[in-house]
Amino acid sequence: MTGTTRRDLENIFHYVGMVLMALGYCMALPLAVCLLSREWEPALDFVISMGVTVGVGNLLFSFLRPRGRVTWNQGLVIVSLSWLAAMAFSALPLYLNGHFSSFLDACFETMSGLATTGLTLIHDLDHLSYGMNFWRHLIMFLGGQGIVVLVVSYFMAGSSVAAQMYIGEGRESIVPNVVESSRFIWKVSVAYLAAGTVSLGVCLMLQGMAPVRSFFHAACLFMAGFDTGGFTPQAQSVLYYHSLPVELITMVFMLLGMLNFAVQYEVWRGRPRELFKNLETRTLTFTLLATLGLVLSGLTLAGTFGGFGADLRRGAYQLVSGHSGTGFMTVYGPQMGARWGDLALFALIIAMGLGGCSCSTSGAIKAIRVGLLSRDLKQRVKKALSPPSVVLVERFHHIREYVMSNEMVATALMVTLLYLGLYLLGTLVGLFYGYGLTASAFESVSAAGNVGLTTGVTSYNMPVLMKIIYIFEMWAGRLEVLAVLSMFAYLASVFRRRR
Amino acid sequence: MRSLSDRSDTGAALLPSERKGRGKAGGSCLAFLAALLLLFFPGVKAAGAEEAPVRVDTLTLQEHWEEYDGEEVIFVGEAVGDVMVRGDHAWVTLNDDHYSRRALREAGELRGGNSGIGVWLPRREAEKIGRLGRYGSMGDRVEVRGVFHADCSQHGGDFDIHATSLEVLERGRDLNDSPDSGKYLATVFSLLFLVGASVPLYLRRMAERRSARALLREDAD
Repeated sequence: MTGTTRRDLENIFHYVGMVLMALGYCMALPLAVCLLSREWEPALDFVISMGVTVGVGNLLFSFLRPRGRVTWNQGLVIVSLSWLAAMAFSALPLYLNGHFSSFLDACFETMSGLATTGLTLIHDLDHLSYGMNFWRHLIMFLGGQGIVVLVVSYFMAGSSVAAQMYIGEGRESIVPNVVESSRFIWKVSVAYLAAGTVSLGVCLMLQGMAPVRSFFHAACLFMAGFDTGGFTPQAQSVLYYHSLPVELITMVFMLLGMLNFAVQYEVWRGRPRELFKNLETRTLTFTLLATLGLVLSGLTLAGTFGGFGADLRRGAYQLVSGHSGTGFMTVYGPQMGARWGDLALFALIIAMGLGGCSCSTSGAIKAIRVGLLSRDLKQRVKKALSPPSVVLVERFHHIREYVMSNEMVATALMVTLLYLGLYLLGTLVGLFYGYGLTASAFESVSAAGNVGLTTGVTSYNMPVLMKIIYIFEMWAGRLEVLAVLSMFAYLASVFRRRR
Repeated sequence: MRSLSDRSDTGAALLPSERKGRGKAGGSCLAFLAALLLLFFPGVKAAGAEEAPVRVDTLTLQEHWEEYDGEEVIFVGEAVGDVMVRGDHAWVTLNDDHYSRRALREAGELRGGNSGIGVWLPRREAEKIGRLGRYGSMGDRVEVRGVFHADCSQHGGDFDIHATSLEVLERGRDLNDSPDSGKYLATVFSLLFLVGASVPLYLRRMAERRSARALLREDAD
């Protein structure tokens, strides 16, 4: 191994070790929940996993010292590898607890959690301990806010690698300093967590649940809803509560989660007009309303529910859940696959594929790219209709005023194409294993767009290759594909250097 | 996953159309006799026309919802999670999956996710439930009778059963939560590994502090 390669790997794994240490310390929270709930066996599972995770993190951090400046490529590789390492180590307690068929299934669950997807392979969720359930939702919160962002903001203040890792995790800067941006995201999220847990907890109590369970469920649902994740404490998802107020509150969580944090920051600063001027929120409003219209038309045509009230309640909820990338369900998966009709399902696939805003917890293509591409299309049509001497300049507002450049459009187009490729990959694998086109496309877009809605394809007995492909889709989709491709390109270059 | 052909073995869920179609040949004589009987004893009609509710499971309801929509059914399952009281009624979820019969913690058999259905029932019936299925607890196994709705107009399109009665078939019980010796051993090894792996970090931090102090001392001198 050449000196450069060795130094590269030492740099990378030093920071991966740091992320693992942070992840291990986070396990103290579900451990505390286990002890409070007197769940002894799960408590031991967390002690074992914590020891291994923090121990491995310590070894990597202490023995592999960073030498020299971390490059841009290394930053992206650190993010990609950190996510893989976090997936494997956070799967340890879940696997030890015996609710998964294999370690791969536990990894599927944790990648689904970290990437805020919400697809699950768990067995007998309704008898899962409070501690393990809390862990499933906590990893969703950590992944949604960005586990690397957490490390960046609290352990690496002033470090040169912070910016690479921050952007590698699919974020844009809210304030000029990335560390301050990360801290802002975490502060806002914790404030929302407190407010959301209290409001939903009180609502659940009024809906007939016992106080302790109300607040436990509220905290879990907030973490899964605001982080557009989609795990729930009970197997029936949000349908379990049979409650319109719960559906409305969780819809607010999902809408907040899918909005750009930078826009929310502007609103917090007393500039609510940003919401109406911003290209991204305007695009999002349009796509939400357009796909809602399609879903409602589809449900009416298929006669799925008895009346418009039920169509609106179920359709709007599933649409917001799909568009935001959450995956909460108020209908049974197989029921949706069989009864919703192709038009409503197709509209849901489009909504899932588009996703929420950039710098939010949503996955998929994202509204800013859709907005840019549609503006570019408009400009090209205008140009075609204008005399050749006319020079058209397209401006748009996204926090500040921008002049749209070819480079911006090219980048948006490239990422959009990468997502479409990712959706196609999972669809082809589904078709290869004999699933129908709609079901394969639905599940693939759901995984790659980090959504989590299912028509029943995702199950513990699906082929191993499909599980691996879906894990890859969730991982690449969350990191906006580019960081993952950079990692592969970087590893290829390392091997070339070794030869 | 259970196949639909298993239904006749368990007697759990014959489709109404299947029930209606059985014994057509021999049925014509009986029908003639029944018609004579009804002609002379019209009071018998109401009782004779009532079909006994069928026992169903979640899978059957999901796959053949059209057959059962609005029909009276019997559903047997484990009461899990919460009894959510809303006025004079309550919601309870009944699971009829593998784990409702053989607890995962006892049998150790992994058979996929949970399956069950939400049941809306009078509060006094719900109060018969003594134990709910959760971690460390097997819920009461109960039987409910009521009308199945594939698209409940009262509850905004819910897929539910509106039960009128509930009977506890088997009381729930505690499930074992004591870890086996292997887990204790693994815990000890894990903690030893953590301590061992923390030594280099601790030594590094100490060395850094020493060098920082030395620098400060040099500056002071």
